[in-house]
Amino acid sequence: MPSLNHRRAALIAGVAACLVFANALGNGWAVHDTPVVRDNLAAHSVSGALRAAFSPYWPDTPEEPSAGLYRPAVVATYAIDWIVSGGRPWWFHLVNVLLHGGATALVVLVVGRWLSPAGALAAGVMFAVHPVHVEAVANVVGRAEILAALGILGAVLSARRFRRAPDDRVARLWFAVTILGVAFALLSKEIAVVTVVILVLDQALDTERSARPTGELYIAVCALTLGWLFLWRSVAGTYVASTAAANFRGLSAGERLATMLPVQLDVVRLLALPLELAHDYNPQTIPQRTEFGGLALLGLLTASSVLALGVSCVRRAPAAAFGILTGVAAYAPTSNLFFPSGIALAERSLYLAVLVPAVAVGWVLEWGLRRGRARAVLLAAGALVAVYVGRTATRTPFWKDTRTTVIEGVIEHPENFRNHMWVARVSERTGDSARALAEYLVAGALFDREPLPVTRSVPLAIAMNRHRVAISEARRMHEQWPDSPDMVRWLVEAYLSDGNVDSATAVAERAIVAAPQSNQVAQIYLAVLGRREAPEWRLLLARARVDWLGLRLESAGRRLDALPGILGYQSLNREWCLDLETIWPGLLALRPAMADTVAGMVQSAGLPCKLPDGRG
Amino acid sequence: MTTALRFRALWPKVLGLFVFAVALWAQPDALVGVFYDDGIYVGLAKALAEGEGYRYAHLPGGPPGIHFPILYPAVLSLLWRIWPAFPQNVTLFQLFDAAALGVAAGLIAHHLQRWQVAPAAQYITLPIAFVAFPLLAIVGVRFSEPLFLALLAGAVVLADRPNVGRRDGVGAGVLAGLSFLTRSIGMAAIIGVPIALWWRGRRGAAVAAFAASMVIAVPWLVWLVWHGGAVDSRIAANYGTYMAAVGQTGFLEVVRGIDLRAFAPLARLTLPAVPAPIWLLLAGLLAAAVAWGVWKIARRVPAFAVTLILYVAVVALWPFTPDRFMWIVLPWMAMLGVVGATAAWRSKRAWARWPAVVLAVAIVVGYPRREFASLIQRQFAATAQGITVPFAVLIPAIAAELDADAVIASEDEALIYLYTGRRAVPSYLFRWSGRSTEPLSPDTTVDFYCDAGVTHLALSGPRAPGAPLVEELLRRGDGTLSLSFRVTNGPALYEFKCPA
Repeated sequence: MPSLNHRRAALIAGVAACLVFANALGNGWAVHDTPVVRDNLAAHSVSGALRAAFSPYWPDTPEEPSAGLYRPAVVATYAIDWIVSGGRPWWFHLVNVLLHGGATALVVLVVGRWLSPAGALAAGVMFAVHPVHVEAVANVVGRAEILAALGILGAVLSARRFRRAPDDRVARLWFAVTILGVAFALLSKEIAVVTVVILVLDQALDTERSARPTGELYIAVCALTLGWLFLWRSVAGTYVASTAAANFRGLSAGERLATMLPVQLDVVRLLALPLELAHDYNPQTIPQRTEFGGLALLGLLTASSVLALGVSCVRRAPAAAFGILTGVAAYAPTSNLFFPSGIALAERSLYLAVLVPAVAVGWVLEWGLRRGRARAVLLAAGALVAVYVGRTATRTPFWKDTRTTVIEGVIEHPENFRNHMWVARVSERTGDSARALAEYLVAGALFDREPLPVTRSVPLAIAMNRHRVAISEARRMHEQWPDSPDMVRWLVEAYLSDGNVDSATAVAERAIVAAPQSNQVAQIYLAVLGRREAPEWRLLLARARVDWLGLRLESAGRRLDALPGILGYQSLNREWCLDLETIWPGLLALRPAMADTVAGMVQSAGLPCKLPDGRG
Repeated sequence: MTTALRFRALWPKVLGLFVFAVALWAQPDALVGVFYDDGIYVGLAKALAEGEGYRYAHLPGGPPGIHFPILYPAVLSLLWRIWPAFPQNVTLFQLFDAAALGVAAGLIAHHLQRWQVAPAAQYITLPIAFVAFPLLAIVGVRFSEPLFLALLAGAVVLADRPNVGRRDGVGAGVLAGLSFLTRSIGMAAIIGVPIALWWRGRRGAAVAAFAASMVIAVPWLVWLVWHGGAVDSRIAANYGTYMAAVGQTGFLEVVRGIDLRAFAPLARLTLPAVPAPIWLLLAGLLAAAVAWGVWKIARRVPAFAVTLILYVAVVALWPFTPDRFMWIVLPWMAMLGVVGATAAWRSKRAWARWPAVVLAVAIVVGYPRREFASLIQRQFAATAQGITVPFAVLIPAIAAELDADAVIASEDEALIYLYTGRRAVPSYLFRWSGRSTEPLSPDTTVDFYCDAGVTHLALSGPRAPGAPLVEELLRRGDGTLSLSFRVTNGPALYEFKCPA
C-alpha cells in the first residue's frame, strides 16, 4: 500500500469533497441562479461574457437592483458551462463540485507546509465536508466563492514556489503565476482584496527562509489590487451604498456594530457546529439592535479571542495560526464591523473561513498522533466528519430549485421577512394572489423598516380590491416615511382605489406643501386632480407645476441633466421665460413665496421675461 | 544584506507603487477633453479603434492626424477595443496613465542610483515631486506625458548602463524612438542618447541606438510629410504639423534666442510670492542649482544629462512654451536642484553655501504650504472640474436637441464630438505671430465655418476665446447667429447660418 504523502492526501480530500456533494447534481436553478445565470445572456456565450466584462455581476433590474459586485471571471466560467452543456443545470453543479474538490486539494497542499500528510488530510476532509459550504457548492452562483478561494490558495502555493525557485527564470515564472492567481481571485470575488495579507501571512509563518527577496512580489500584488479597486469602483462601486443589507437600514455606525457583534457568535457557531443553517440572515433572523448589550460584549470577546488565539499560535502552531488568521482575513470584508456590506451574514461568504475549524482539526489530530492518542482523536474526528457529512448531504437538496429553497426557507426561519417576500413573489408568479398578499403583509409586519413589502402589498391589494388592506398598509408606511414620494403615491393610490378622492387629494396637497420642489409629488397631485372633477384652472395649475418642476425639460430630452448646472449659475435662460410666463398664474396662486423668489431672480439676471403682473 | 540595502534595492518599486496609487487617487471627476489635447488624443484613439484610421474624426472631412504623434492614441485605441463603451472606458485610460507614471517613477528612481546621491535625498525629494500638483493635474487628464516620461526614462536607464553594449543601444534607441512617437520633443532623446554613447566611446551602441530610433521615427516623419498639407491652413495652428506652426511664427523667432521663461514654471511652483527683484534672484539661484546638478552628474549619467539639456533647449528655443513641457520633467529637475544645492553646501568655497541655504529656505517657505493645500483640497483637479461645468450644461442640450449631422463650432471641440457624436470644429481660430498668437479675422472665421458646414456655435462662457467673435456677429445683426439658449455668465448655444 503506497504511503500517504501530501499529494495523495490532496487527491483523497478532493475526491471526498466531490463525493459528499455528489447529490448536488440533482439540483436545478435556485433563487439567484435565475437572474445571474439562467436569464443572463452574458452568461450564455463567451462573446456575451466578453461584452459584459466591464459590467456589474448582478444584472440591474427594477426588481433586483444591481449590487456593488464585479466578477467577470465567474461570468466567463458560466458562459463556458453554458456552451458545453446547452444550459443544463446539472453540468453547472458538476463544475461547482469539481471546483470545490480542487479548492479542497489546494487547502491540503497549503496547510501541508506545517502539517503531516495525515494532519493535512484531516484538515482537507473537514474542509471538504463542512456543511457551511453547501450554499457555495450546491447553489450555482456560490461558485464565486470557490473560484476566489482557488485563486487565493493557488497564489499562496505559487508564491511559495517563487520564494524557493532555484534560479531567476523559474522565479519569474512563479512570480507571473502568482500574479495571475491573484488577478483571477480578484475578478472572481471582492474578498480577494485580502490576498496580499494572506500571502504575507504565509511567508511570515513559513519556517523555510525565502531564497530571494519578495518585496517585488508584494508590490506587484498591491499594484494589481489597487488597479482592481479602481476598476471595481468604476464598474460597480456606485451601487454599493444603495445595496447595503436591510439589517442596517436606518442604523448609525455604532448601531451597526451593536447589531453585528452578536452575529460573531453565530459565525463561530456556524464554523464549529453548523447543524442549523439558513440561506438568508435578513431581519429578524439577525435582528436590528440599537444598543450594546451582553450579547454584543460576548461577540466582541469571542471575536477578539479568536484573533488573539491566531496570533498566539504563530510560533507554537503555525498551521493553526495560518488557518485562523486566513479565516479571519477572508471573513473581515463581509463582517460589517468596518463598513456595511450587502449582506449581514451569508454562509457562502464563510467559504475560506472554514479553514479555521479545518486546520484546527488537522492540528489536533496531529497533536493526538504525536501524543499516542491516535484512537481517541481519530474517533472524535471521524464522528465529527460523519456528522458533517450527514448534515451536508441532507442540506444539499435545499438548493434544488427556487420553490424548494423558498418554501423550506420560510419553514426553517419564519422570523425572516425576506423569506416571506420570496414566498410572496413565488405565489404571485403562480397566480396565488391571496397567499402572496398574506406573505407580503407578514413580511411588512416582521420588519417595518423595510419599504419593499409595502411597495408590493399595496398594488396587489388594490388589484384584489382589498382596499382597506391597501389603505392600512400604505398609511402605516406613510407615517413612517412621510417625506417619501413613493409612500405618498401608494397612499394616494390606495385612497383612490377605495373611491376616497377627498382623502387622496388631502394627502397629495399636504405632500406638495411639504415638498414643493418634488416633481414626483407634483405628478401625483396632477394625477389626483385628474381623477376628480377638478376645475379646469386647478388642473392647468397642477400641470404648470409639473412643467415647472422639470417635466417640460425632461421631455426635451436629457437637458434635465443640465438643471443643476444651470441653477448653479443662479440664472435663467430665455426658454425659461416662456415657461415662467405660462405657469405664472399658477405659481402666484399656489406658491406666492416662490413666485417672489423667481421674480427676484429674473430681475437680477436681467432676463427679458414678461410676467403678467409686471414683475419681470 | 542589511535592511537599508534591501530597502534601497526595493525603493524604485516602492516609489512606483506609491505614485501609481496617488495617480489613481488624483483622477478628477471631469469630462475628457477639458484640456483640449486630451480630447483630441481620445478622439484619435476612437478613430483608430473604430477603423477610421489615424484621423481627426471630430472634424468634418476627418483630415489625417499630423499634429499629435501616434503612439499614445494607438495605445488608447487598443484599450478602446477592449472596452468600447465611452465614457465608461476612460477608467482603462486612467489606469494606463497612472501605471505609466508609476513605471516612470520606478525607472527614474532606479536611474538615480547611478547618480550617487544620498538615498535619503531621493527618498524625500522624489515622492514630493511626484505629488506636485501640476503633475497630478497632468495625470488626471488624458495627456501623453506619463507614457512619454516612462519611455524617456527607460531610454536613459538603458543608455546609462555602466557596460552598455549594442543591445542596450538598440533598446535605448527603440525607447527614444517611441518617446518621439509619443511627444515630438522626444527628438531630444533620439539625438541625446547617441551623442552621449558616442562621447563615452561606445560608438557601436551609439550607431545602433540612432539606427533603431530612426527605424521607428522615420515612418512617422514620412506620414507627416505625406499628409502635411491635408489640414485646412486656417486651423493649422491647432491641427497642422509643428513645421506649419513654425512657418507661421517665422524661423527667425526660433533662432532669435533662448526664452528663459521656459524655466519660469519651476520657479513659480516652488518659490514664495515675494517682490519681483527678490523672486528673480531666487529663480536665478534655482536655475543655478539645477545647472550645477547637471554638471555634477553629467559624467555618471551622460545620456540623461545630454538628453535633458537638449530637452530644455528645445523648450527654451521653441516659440511655444506650454508649462506642461516642464512639469513632466519636474521630478528630475527637483533632484537636480537638490544635487546642485547639496554640492554647493558641501563646496569648499564658503560663498557658495549661503545661496544654497537661501534657496532651501525659500523653497521650504514657498512650496509645502501650497502643495499641502493642493493635496488636502484636491486643487490639482479644480481646473479640469471647473471647465467641466459649462460643458455639463452644453452636452445634454446638444445631444438632445441638435440633429445628428449638426456641426458645432466650440472650444474643446473634441470633447463635444466625444460626448455628443456631433462633428465639431474650433470656434476660435488663430495663427502664430512671433511668440504669441493672434485671432483670424471674423470674416475668415465665418468663411471657415461655412466651408466646414457649421450649424451651431457653442460658447462655454462670456470669457471664452470665441466670445468676441460672437459679439461681433450678433452686432452685425445679419442673422448669421441666433440664440438657442444662453445661461447668464454661463454657456450658450447659437444657431449659425452662413451669410448670404
